[in-house]
Formats: sequence, C-alpha cells, structure tokens
Amino acid sequence: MIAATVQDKLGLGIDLGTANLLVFLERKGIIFDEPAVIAFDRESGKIVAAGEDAHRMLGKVHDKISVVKPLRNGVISDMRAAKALLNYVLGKIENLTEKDLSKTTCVICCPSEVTKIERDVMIDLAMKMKITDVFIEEEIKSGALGSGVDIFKSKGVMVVDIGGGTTDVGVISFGDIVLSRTIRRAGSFMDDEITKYVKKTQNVEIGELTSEKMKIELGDLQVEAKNVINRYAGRDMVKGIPKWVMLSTHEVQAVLTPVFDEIIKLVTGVLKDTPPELSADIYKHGILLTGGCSMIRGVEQYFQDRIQVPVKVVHNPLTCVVEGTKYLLKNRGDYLVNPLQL
Amino acid sequence: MAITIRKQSKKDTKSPVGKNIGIDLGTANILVYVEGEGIMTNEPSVIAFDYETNDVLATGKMAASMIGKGHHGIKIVSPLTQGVISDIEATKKLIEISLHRVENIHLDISSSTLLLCCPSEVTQLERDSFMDLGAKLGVKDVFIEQEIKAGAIGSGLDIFSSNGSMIIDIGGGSTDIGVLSLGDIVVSGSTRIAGNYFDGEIMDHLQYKHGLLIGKKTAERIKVEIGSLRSKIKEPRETWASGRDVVTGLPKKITVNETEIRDVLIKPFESIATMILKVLQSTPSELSSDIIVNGIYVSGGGAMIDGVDEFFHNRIGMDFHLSRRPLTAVVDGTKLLLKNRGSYFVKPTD
Repeated sequence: MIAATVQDKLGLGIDLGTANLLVFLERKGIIFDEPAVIAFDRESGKIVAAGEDAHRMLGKVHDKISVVKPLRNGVISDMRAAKALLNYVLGKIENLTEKDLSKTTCVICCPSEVTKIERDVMIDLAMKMKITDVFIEEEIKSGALGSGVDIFKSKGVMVVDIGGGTTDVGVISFGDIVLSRTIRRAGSFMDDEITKYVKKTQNVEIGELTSEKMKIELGDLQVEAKNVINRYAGRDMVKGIPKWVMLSTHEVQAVLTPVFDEIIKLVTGVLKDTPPELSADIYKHGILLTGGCSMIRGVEQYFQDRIQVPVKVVHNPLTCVVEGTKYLLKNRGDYLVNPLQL
Repeated sequence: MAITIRKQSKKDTKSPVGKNIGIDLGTANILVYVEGEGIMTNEPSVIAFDYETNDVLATGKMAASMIGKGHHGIKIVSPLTQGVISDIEATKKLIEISLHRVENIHLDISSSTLLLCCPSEVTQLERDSFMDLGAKLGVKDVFIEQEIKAGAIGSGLDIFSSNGSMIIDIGGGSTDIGVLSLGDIVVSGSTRIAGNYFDGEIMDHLQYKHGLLIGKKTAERIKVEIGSLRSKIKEPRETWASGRDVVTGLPKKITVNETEIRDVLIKPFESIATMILKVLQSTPSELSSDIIVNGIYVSGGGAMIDGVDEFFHNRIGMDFHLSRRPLTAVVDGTKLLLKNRGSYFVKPTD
C-alpha cells in the first residue's frame, strides 16, 4: 500500500476475449483468468456465478438462471453482462474503492478489425466502471509483447492470434502495427463445426461444453496423428434420448482442417500485402502463434508445411495478451517509448 | 383428541414453539416430517367421518381398512385425487390429527414454517389450494415445492451441482418426471397414470376376464403382492382375489398369477415410458449427456413393483436405479428444502 501512495495511479489491463477474460493489475499480476461467462438470477438480477463456475452451467440451467457470454465474435454483445462481469472481477480486489478506480489507467485489448462503434463500446464499458483513463490496443500487439518479443526494433514480427471468437493476423514493426486482418473463424467456430459434424453424421445433438471438450481432447493436426476414439454423450435427434457418440481424432481433424485452411489463406493474404523489407524479417524470424487454439497439437507443423516459413507457438499462448498489457500500460501504446527499457 | 393435547402442553413448563414442518401430501400416503422429531406420520391419506355429526372416526391405516366396507353412517374420504386437493376440509383435519398424534410435542403451528409438496404440473388454482390449506391450518409461513425436487434430494442426489440428474416419481395419483440441475427443475413432466390407475386397470381386468368385481383394496393388494414387470417370469407367483361374481352376484374367490397381472401393468407403464421419452426429448443436450452417465432414478411406491428398472431399461435403454427408500424419499427431501426454503442459491448441506 506504500507503493500506492508513491505512484497513486493504478494500472489495469483487460483482455476481454470471447472465451476467456483475463485481468492484469499492476503490482499484483494476473488477478483473473477464467472463462468470460456470467450467470444471473432472472428474477432479482443478482449474479449467481461468474467465470469457471458459470462456464460449467452452460446449457444446464433451469429457467431461473440465465447464463450469458457477454462477448460474441470478439466484440461485446451484452453490455450489461460485460459490466457485471468486470464489476465482479474488480470486486475481488481488496482495498479498491471507487476513488481508486477514477485514478486508474486502463487498457483494453480488442481484435484488429473492429469498427469504431465496437471500439467505443469497449471504452464505454470502462467509463461505466468509473474509469476515466481508457485506451484500446490491438490484441496482437499486446500478445507479441507478452510473449517476450521486442517489437520496438526495426524488425518485422508477424503474429497470428487464434482466439475464441476471432483470429487476428498482423505484422508489427517499430512498436506498432503495420497491417492487420481479422476473421471470425476461431475456437468457438471450430466448436460449432464439430457440433454440426456430429449432428450430420450421427444424428446426435451435443452441447457447447461437450464440443469444446472434443476439440481439446481430440484436436490434432499432425499428418500421422495417432487415431484415438473417445466416447461422448449427447442427445439423439430422432428419438430424443441420451446417446453415446464415438468420435475419432481423424474425424475431428477433417472438421478442423477447412477452418485452419481459411486461417492460412488469411495469413498468406497478409504476407502478400506486407512490405518486402518486412517480409524478409518475417522469413528470417518466423511467425508467432498465440491464442488458445494454437495449443491444438500439430498446429506449428501444419502452418509450416503450407506457408514455408518457420512458425513458433509462444510459451504462454493463453496469457500472453494480458501479460503484454503490463508494458502497454507503461508507455500507453506509444511506439516511441520502449517500455522494455523503462 | 386435539383438546387433550392442548391441556397437556399447558401443564408443561415448556411453551410450544414453532418448528419446521414438511408434508408430503400424496394421493396414496401422507407423510409428515417435523424438525427434530423425524417422520411423524407415514400412513394412507384416508379419513373417515361420521355422516351425521361429521366427527372424525378414523384416519390413516384404520380408515384405509374401511374402504369399500363402510355403511351409511360412515363417510370415507380420500382428500386428494390425482395428486391435488379435492376436499380441503378433510385434508386440513387429516393434517391436524397427524400433527397431534405424538404426545409431548411442543408445537406451535401458527409460528411454524410449513412446506407442502405438490406434483409438477398442477394449475395455479390447484397450487393456490395448497396455500389455502396452509392458511386454514393457521400457518403464516407456507411455501410449496415440487415433489420431484424433494424426491431427488431425498433419494440422495446432489441436485445443487451443475451435474444434471433425472428422477421419476411414481406415486399414487400422479407420476412426475423431472430433470434437475443447479438446485432446480429444468424440464419436468407429469401424468396422472400412477398407483391408483394401476389398481383400476387390475379391477377392470378381473371384471372383464373373470367376471369378478373386486374392491380397490383387493386390487392394491394384488398389485403389491404379485405386481411385476419382468419380461421373463420363471415361476409365476400366485395370489387369490375375492369379490362378487358379475353374473350371479354371489361372492367368489379365484387365483390370479403374476404373468396375468404383468400383462395388465405393462400398458400403463408403456405410457409412463412414453412420458419419460417426452421429457428426455425436451432436455438440453448438455444435460442429456449427464443423464446417460448418471442414470435415471426411480422413486415412489411404483418403484417397488418388481422389475421396474428392467422394464424401463428395455424400453429406453439407460441405466435405471431404484431409490433406496422409495416411499419416504419426498419427505426426506423436505428436511433439506426446509433449510434453504427451496432457493437454488443456498446449498443446504449439514
């Protein structure tokens, strides 16, 4: 608390993703790393659960509870829920008063290609929390910083962030983004594809949690992937009764491949538009892969085989974005100031 | 009866206190739980009145043994039909007497909390009649919960976790089916095909097949003694049935065997199975996957018919488990529901 008096501005970094919400508080570290899900009591509007607990409720609640994912496709779709979720997280911090919040500097990370309105919504959100000093940064920039890459040199770095709602691809040089693109093909899209596939081939309906589990357990992009067959449960579409489903690694691979191919198309598109001087850098240093979906086995090899550029998954794919906010808070996203040297 | 109790409590130094009371008011049986006392009453919900003076002659087992045997001076009432209250005055009397049965109980009804259990699909009017009953008993603090919820808790299921569970309660007047998760009901269904309906089917069968008119009590006895749903019966059990011959009008006694009764029971159980399928169809898929892992629990008097689990397993194809104490599951559940007042927020662990 002594430190707080010396430097009485609090820094808050928020990675508000479709799948997970991560919050970084200066001098405290990452204080929240849980799914971005919140559950309300319908009658009173009170929060029943948030984060991990609420995530477990998805698709399982009775009509007295409503479970909400405040973000869809990388942008806020339910303002009230987003605010409640952030309030819940900030409420967990001890000794935090409203006065502290008004002195807080806050950085929120968002996907690359969001509209002005969608960005404003993010700022609005922070304003509603009584935080006055807010700025928005792109997730890839923060992700690159968080994975320990010095982006403030005259060296081009390419980042591919495959998150929950969006996949962002960008080239960074001299501390800021040269060009970036986004598609809304990422983790939850893959889950949906798996759900559709199971529905089509086996006539069984599965829930969100199950399809996510399938992706995590069976997702494998290696050419010679070991074929594992796992058993999952869902609901028979015809008879309506619960039914077991057998799903193999090869089937999941067949579902995931088209999605990844689209991502690769985006990456090559970005590479095509990259200035040649930077292309050379990228060819030398390779592409950085971040985000939850880069944890699928064999992603590195899959990209390398198709793009012919070395690809590396960062050591902290899930937390690198929020870790990057640590540096962004120091220089407020200014490319002239290298926060790594501060 | 009631008067003597009041005198007693006055004599005692202890003044009556309000307690938590849970009542499973079933068509067939009434069970009363009082906090700190346990299950005080577990008897048929039947009451016998004197026709002229309207005095209570007998309740519970005594009154049940009078069914079909009373004369003009006695009026025998089952205050509940098909799971809901049909005679509120009689119900009130029945509960009052049940509460006063145990001596030395310092119970002040008006300051107690009363929990009444009702079937899943009752209309608002029917629900209101339960509230009225509470008001008539002089209890200010009354709340109503669905039987299926109490039954699930009483069967030992942890309904407060996000792990979904399914339970079927085959009672006397209604069969309730429910899928529960996070402390409340997600999907439920109810059908009035239950114990009493089975009895009726057995009566009809004997009348058409053997030309024998039997009473409700005999039909129930046959169901309890040799009722079965097994697909293969090795040595059919037998029992006797006596009644009146339809043609001659004379008393007659015949023997019936298990296979015959099974064929009668299969039909109503088929429709219960259809109802279960219906509920499963409207269950969210995430819960479906929990149910296939955990299996389905069966409670209520109907769970005591031989081979119920096997029958449902053959029809629906999931694991069916029988509740350990099928008859008292609901009232056991009220014990916990009284602690959290039915709120799904609060987990009433001990």
